[in-house]
Amino acid sequence: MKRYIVFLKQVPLSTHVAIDPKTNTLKRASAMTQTNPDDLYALQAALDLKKQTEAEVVAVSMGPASAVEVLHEALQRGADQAVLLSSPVFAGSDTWCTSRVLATAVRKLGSFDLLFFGRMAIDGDTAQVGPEVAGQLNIPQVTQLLGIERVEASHIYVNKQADVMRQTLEIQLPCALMVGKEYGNLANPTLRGWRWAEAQTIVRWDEHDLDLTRQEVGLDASPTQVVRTEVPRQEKVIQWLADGEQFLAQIQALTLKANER
Amino acid sequence: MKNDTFPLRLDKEACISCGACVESCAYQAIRMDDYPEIQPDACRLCGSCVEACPAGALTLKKAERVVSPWHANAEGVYVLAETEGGVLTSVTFELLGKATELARKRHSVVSALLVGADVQPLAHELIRRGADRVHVAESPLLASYIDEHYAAVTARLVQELQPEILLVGATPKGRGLSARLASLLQTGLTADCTSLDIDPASGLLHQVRPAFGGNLMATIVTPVHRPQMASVRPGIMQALPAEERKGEIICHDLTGFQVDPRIHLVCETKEKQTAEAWDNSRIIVGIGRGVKKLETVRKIQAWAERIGAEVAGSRAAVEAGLVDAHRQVGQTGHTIAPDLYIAIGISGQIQHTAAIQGCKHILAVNPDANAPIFSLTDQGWVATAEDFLRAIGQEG
Repeated sequence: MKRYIVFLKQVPLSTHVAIDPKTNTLKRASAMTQTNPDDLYALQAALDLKKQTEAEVVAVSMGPASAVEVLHEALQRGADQAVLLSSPVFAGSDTWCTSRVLATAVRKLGSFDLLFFGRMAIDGDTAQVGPEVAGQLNIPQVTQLLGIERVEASHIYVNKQADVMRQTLEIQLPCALMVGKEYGNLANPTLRGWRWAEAQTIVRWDEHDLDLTRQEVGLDASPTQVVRTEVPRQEKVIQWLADGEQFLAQIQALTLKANER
Repeated sequence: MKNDTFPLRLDKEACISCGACVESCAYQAIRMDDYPEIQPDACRLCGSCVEACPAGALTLKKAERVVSPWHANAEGVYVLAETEGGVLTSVTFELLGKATELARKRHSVVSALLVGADVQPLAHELIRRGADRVHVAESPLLASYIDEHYAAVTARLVQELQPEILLVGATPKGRGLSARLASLLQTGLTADCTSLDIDPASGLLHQVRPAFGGNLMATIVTPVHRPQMASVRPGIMQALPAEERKGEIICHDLTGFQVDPRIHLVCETKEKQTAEAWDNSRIIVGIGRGVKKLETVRKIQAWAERIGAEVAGSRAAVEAGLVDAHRQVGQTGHTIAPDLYIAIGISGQIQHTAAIQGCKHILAVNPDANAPIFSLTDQGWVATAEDFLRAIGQEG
């Protein structure tokens, strides 16, 4: 039986951030969370393939204790097993250290055939973790995925974009796939899935289970460090135009300038 | 806090119990009693609270760090040249422009890495655009673009040349390649930077990038890992004008290079021309759900063609079937940075605005004066798509 591992991240429901005019500090509007949208498509891709090839789908999330929520959703939608990677030691990990935690978890899970990642998370916007995990595990990676043709005993056939080319690749398993919304439609969770998920236990691993230390993962081990964050100030002062004539005149002046360059 | 090995520390003497840290935390990891209580399980050490604290009572402890083996020798600003259909992409020239500025500040030189099949003729163009040296690594085995092959060859060059800084274009291709490359080199990578500078005090590369869909700008450094790697958003940096310059071309021997036997290219076909270049257009017209009818879109399209503009759309417009999915502008589509963006009937959801921040000038038409699109707009007109059609004389 094949084994597919899907990675899901818990992200804020809204990515809206603002400056509090009174205290002049950062204010993030939403404390509510959701499963990163692209990751749900990654899960769907794994579940769809499971219908074609007998497989076990393992959902993995790294994050605070509350990230069990995304794993719970994954179980409801059809994942067979869920693992939470959570520890204060993991906190502050940049993409490289996050990839290291995930790659270590994959090794601990033992055999696997496909890794599914969402293309990008809406809070970090990096699109790096999937390829970095693939790189650390030294397995092939598929970015800019257009579609999965089929999976055979030891190979997968995929279509992908590579700049102006559309490629069909035959790749030896195991392999990592980055999945975006272009993948297709999400199936609705079922009542049966919901009931089943209620009865499942989510495995929880920390740095001891993964045999990792603060020298290897987390804030201090991360190659990149955040030195400053700020809410971009709106420098633009909008000029209102009264009618279509004025609007068109602006367009004409600006297109002239743009085409001169 | 119980765990005093936790890197985020509170100095109770300095704390004024104002609660700014609680407000700033996106992860609800701080609770306010008499003093802020940090929940190590929920905290992601993002540092927002440290920034927010007006009293300087919160600190993030930095430990001794493992240094890249060739940290001390690392030198030079490098650009990974990108080709598309056999020609250099515009982001490559933009990177060379930025690299020239960074190299001047580091008293160093600009080098380009040119990897591919039959790419050597492109080396002169890289010199004309600012490269002092071009390192060419050619092999017929690189004729088709495969992440693993390009990453392996580039990693080999980087190990040999030991750059201090390496810039890659944050194109869809560049993002996948740079991430794999960073993991092979065991170094940090900052994604999709919109601003880069040398910090005069430390000499480190300050890498500024948007996160939270552009709602937050983060400045990131790579203190001890080399190279300091950044992928850079296309359309933001200024390219230098092409001019005759002196430069050195160095060819690297790839005779030992072998393709990854696990990856087999079954076939590849070139996508039709129209799909490739629209997002590089200097003028882009964005269609939103406010446009409503396909007929209106067609009329706008005809007009756009006359003014030399490409037509794109928001996710809502794509979902409503008004615009082709390949022309979606947004977090889940294309990021654009034209000289002029004309937004018609676009409300300006974050999903869309995150991808238009590089636009040099934005005009918007929307019937709702409070639509979020107007906060990014240089000139706005409160009107409907139909009013716009009348203005361009396409009515009826």
